[in-house]
Amino acid sequence: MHYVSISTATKIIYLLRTHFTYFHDFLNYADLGVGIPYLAGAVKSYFPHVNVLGVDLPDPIQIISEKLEVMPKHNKCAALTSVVFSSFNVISDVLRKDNLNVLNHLRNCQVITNFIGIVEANESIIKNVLPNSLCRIIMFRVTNVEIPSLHHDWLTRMKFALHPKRIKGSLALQVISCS
Amino acid sequence: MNVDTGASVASSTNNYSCPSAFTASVIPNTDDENTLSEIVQSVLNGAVYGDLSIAALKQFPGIKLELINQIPKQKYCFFVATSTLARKIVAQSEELGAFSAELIIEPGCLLEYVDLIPDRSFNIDSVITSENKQEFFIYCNQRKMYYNGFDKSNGCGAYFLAYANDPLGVTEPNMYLSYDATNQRLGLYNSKCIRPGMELFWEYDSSGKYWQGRDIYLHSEVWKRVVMKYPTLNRKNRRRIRDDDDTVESQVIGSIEPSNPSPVKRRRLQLVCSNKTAEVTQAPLFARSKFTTKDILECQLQSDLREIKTGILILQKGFGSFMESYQTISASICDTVLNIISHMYKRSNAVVNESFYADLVSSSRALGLINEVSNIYRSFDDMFSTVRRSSQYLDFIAKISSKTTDTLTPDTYDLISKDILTTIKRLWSEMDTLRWKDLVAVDRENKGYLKNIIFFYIVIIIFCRTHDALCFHINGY
Repeated sequence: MHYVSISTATKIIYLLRTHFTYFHDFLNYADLGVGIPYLAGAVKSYFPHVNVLGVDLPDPIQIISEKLEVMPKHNKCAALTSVVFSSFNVISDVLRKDNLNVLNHLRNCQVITNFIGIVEANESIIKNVLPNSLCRIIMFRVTNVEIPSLHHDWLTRMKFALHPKRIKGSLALQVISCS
Repeated sequence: MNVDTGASVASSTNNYSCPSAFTASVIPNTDDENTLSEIVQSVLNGAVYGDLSIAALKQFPGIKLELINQIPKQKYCFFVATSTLARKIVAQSEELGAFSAELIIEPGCLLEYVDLIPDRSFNIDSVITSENKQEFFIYCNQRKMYYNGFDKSNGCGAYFLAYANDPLGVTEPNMYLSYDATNQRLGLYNSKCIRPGMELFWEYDSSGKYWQGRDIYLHSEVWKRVVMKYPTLNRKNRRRIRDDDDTVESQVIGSIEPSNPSPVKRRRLQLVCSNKTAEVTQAPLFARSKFTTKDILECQLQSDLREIKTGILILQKGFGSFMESYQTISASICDTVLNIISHMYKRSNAVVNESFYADLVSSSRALGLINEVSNIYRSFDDMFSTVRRSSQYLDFIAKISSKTTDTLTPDTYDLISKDILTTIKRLWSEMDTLRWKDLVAVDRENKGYLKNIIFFYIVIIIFCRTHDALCFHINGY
C-alpha cells in the first residue's frame, strides 16, 4: 500500500486549485489505488464539497474500513469518514455488472488520480473510464512506469494534453503481504 | 427550512405547506370568451406585457393569460404557464409554473412580496390529503405567522410567484425567500439574472420536511426526485407495520367512501410508497443533494478568506519590518511582497465587489464571511491603494502577466500553496497520531498483543504450578 507525502499532496491540490478557478467545476474526485488515504483525505479536507471516491483492492479497503470504524469520532480526520471507499480490481473487474455503479461515478469525476503504476491498470482506465467521461485531469504514475505511445495517442485523441508542469512527488510504499 | 434569514416555509411535525410544486393545477383552465376577446383586442392594439408581446406570450404552452388581469402586479411582470421543469420530469405534466416577462439583470432584487394574505386559522396539525394539499402556505419566523399564497376570493394565486416550483435538484433555483427587516416584509428575491421567458424556481425547504406526506398525491417521478434530493425522507417513511395498521387498513378497504382520511391512513400510504422508491436510494454513491450551489460557493468563499488571512499573516510575520521600505529592499523581497498584495487584492476584490457571491446573500453565515473579508479589505485599503498606485506594482503586474507566478514566488510565500499546506497539515498530523501509516503493523501488533496475553497467562500458570511444587517440596522436606 502506498501513500503520498504531504508536499506531494500539496502540489497535487495546488494544481487542482489553480486549474479549477470555480469550485463548481470540480465536484467529483476518484483516487484509484487509494492505499493509505492521505491524498483522498487531503482533497476532501481542502475541497469539502467534492465527492471523494477511493478505489482499491478488497484487502486494503477492508483494512481502511476497520481502521475507520475504530477511529475516534469528531477528530481532525472527520474528512475521511465522508470519503466513499470501494473495492474492485480496476484491471479485471471494471466492466463487471456489480461495479457499474462505481464505473458510472468514475465517468462523472472531473479528476482521477491513478498512482497504481501498472500499465494494464492505466490501459483499463483509459479504455473504459475516460471515453465520454467528464474527466478533465487524470494523473498517472510515471516513475518506473513508461506510458506507452499507444496510450498517449489514445489520450490525445480524447483531447487530453500533457500538463506542462510535471509533479515530482514521492510515494512511500508499505508492504501489505507480510503476515 | 432553507431560509437562513429567518423566514421559512411552514414547518412542524406533520404538515408543511408552501406554494405549489409539480402538483395538479388549482387554476381552472378557463376559456372565458370575455377574457379572450380582451386579449385579442390587446394584441390588435400591439400591447406588450413586460418585455414580451402578447403574441410571444401565447407561444408558451398552457399560458394562463386571464391570470395577468386577475393577479395584481407588484413590481415586475410575471405570468403563469405550464412548467417546463415539470415537463422535463413528467412529459405530459400540466403543472403550472411562474415565468418572468421582464429582464431583471441585478441579482438580489425584490421580485414579489409573499405576505399578502395572513392566515391565522391555518392548523399545522391538519392532515395533508389529495383534497387538502396545503401547498400555498409560507411561515414567517419573524412574525410567527402563516401567509396563504392562494386568494380564495379570486380562485387563483395571490401573487404570480405563488406558482413558482421547487427545482428539486433538476436545475438551480434562481430565487430565494428572504425577510426584509427594513420594511418588515417577506418576499422572493432573484439570485441570478432573469431573462424574459425564464421560469422561476426557489428551494422551498433545505431539509425536505415540506415534502413529508406528499407522496400520496405526487407523481411517482416527482416523488423519485424528492427522495433523491432528500434521502432521509425515504428512511423516515420506513417503519415496522404494527398490528393496528391491519385493522385500520381493513376499515379503509371496507369503507365505501375513501374520504375522511385519518392520520393513520396517511402513514399507511407512506409505507406503500417507501417500497416503490427503494431502487432510488440504492443507486447513488453520494447524496449529491447535500451540497447545493450555495454550499459550494461558501466553500470557495472560505478558501478565499483563508488565503487572504494567510497573506496578512505572511506580511505581518515575515515582512513586518520591511513593509515601510519594501521598495528599497532587494528585488526578490519586493516582488514577493507585491505578489502577496496582488493576490490578496484579487481575492478580496472578487469577494467584495463582484457579483460572484451574490447567491450567498441570503445565507447569514456566508454573509458573515463576506463582511469579514470586507472588514479586512477596509482595514488594508490604505495599504492596497498606496502599493497599487506605485510604479513598482504596475511593473510587477506587467511582469506576472507575461510569466507564471510560480517562477516568481517561492512556495513558502504562495498563498494558495501555504493555505493548502496549513489545511491538510492538521489531517496529516492527526492521521500520523492515529498511526495510519502503520495499517498493517497495527494489525500485527494486535495479534502480538493477544499472543502476549496468552503467553503471560501460560507463564502465570506454570509459575503457580512450580510454586505449588516448590512449596510441596519445602513442606516435604
